[in-house]
Amino acid sequence: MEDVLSREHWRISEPEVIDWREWSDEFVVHVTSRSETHLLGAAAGSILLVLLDSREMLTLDDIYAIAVGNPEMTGAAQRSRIPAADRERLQAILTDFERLGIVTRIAA
Amino acid sequence: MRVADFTQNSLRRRLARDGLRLRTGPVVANIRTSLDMVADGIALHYAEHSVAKESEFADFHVAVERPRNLRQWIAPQVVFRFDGLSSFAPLPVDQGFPTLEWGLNWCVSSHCHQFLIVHAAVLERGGHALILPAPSGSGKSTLCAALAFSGWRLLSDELALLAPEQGHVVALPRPISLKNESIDAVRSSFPAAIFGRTVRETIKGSVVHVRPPADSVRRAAQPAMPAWVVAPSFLPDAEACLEPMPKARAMMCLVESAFNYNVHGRVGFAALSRLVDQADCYRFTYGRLHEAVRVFERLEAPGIVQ
Repeated sequence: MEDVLSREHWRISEPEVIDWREWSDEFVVHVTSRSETHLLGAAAGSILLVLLDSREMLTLDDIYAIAVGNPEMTGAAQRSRIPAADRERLQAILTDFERLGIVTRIAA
Repeated sequence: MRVADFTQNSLRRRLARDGLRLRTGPVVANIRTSLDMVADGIALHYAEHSVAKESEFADFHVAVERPRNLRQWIAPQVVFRFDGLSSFAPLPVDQGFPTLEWGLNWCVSSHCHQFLIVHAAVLERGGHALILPAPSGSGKSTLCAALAFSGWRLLSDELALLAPEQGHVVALPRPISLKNESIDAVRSSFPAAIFGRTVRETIKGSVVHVRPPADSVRRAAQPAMPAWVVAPSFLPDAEACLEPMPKARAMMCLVESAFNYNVHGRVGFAALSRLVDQADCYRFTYGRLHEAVRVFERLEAPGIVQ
């Protein structure tokens, strides 16, 4: 299962319709196409910024590596370094983003 | 010409025939009614408001009338009509003036999309606007009335009209609506306030309107830049407590309190973001009016980013 998750890719669905603001580690994101506005915590906000900054589809491992400031940390050998709790949390954030129409999941 | 310049009879006649073009801030509403109770409510609460000429454009054509149905012989009712159509259920006839007020609120919040409209009271001091966004029952209007009779200028009791491009709040000074326990609290604390007739057993309980201060009506053309966003909450006997609210939370509070945020799309998001950027944001709990007023006397204006 974990391997499947690691091979899935994620990208912002429509970057041109996302507006966001950050105030003191909290984010407010506006999805114009859905007329929805959401409050995000620091972790979810930083994941959003990683995805917005990237021009490519990213795996969960890529996102984690960039979010923690170590973009070179890729590959199966490195994945084992991602603590299980962090992996679970990141997966939950991405699933929430998908439900909110912020990101699209591209199956492995 | 002001409403106060009409005699009682001439006002009633005007309202019963062609209608009265009442100017409230940026809005002109042509009001028709043959109900003396509603006419007298307009005379009392809108005495200082100006009346537009009949040749001037009216944003809304509204009427408060008795519906023609069998109930008129048993339990008389009133109905609010907008452009001759009624979207609301009739109410008991003694709720005529509140029906007009609620109807006018609906007209503005549903049609004035040149503004981003937030369910909030707005007051002004020294050119700085204090925005009090809150749901019904939170003590917003009670606090608004207390401040309006304590040196603050009333911009609106119910609807904050934010100009989305310029960022200022446009005044819409109309009667302040008080409910239930707040009626006696304001009446006993602010003897200068002029109250209308208390209407009991409405859907909101007992309701009374307070005439907006004359100075606030005369200065209705002066907008104000937002300086404070304060989400009030009334808690019986609680000590007044003003505590900073994280800006992202203040932003969500404004978004959730807005009537037409979605109409404005990205412009609306940008406008509310700018408002939150430039304002100091707080949560405020209070249980006693005079104590609450003292807290707001000490409120200092933030550095305004134009």
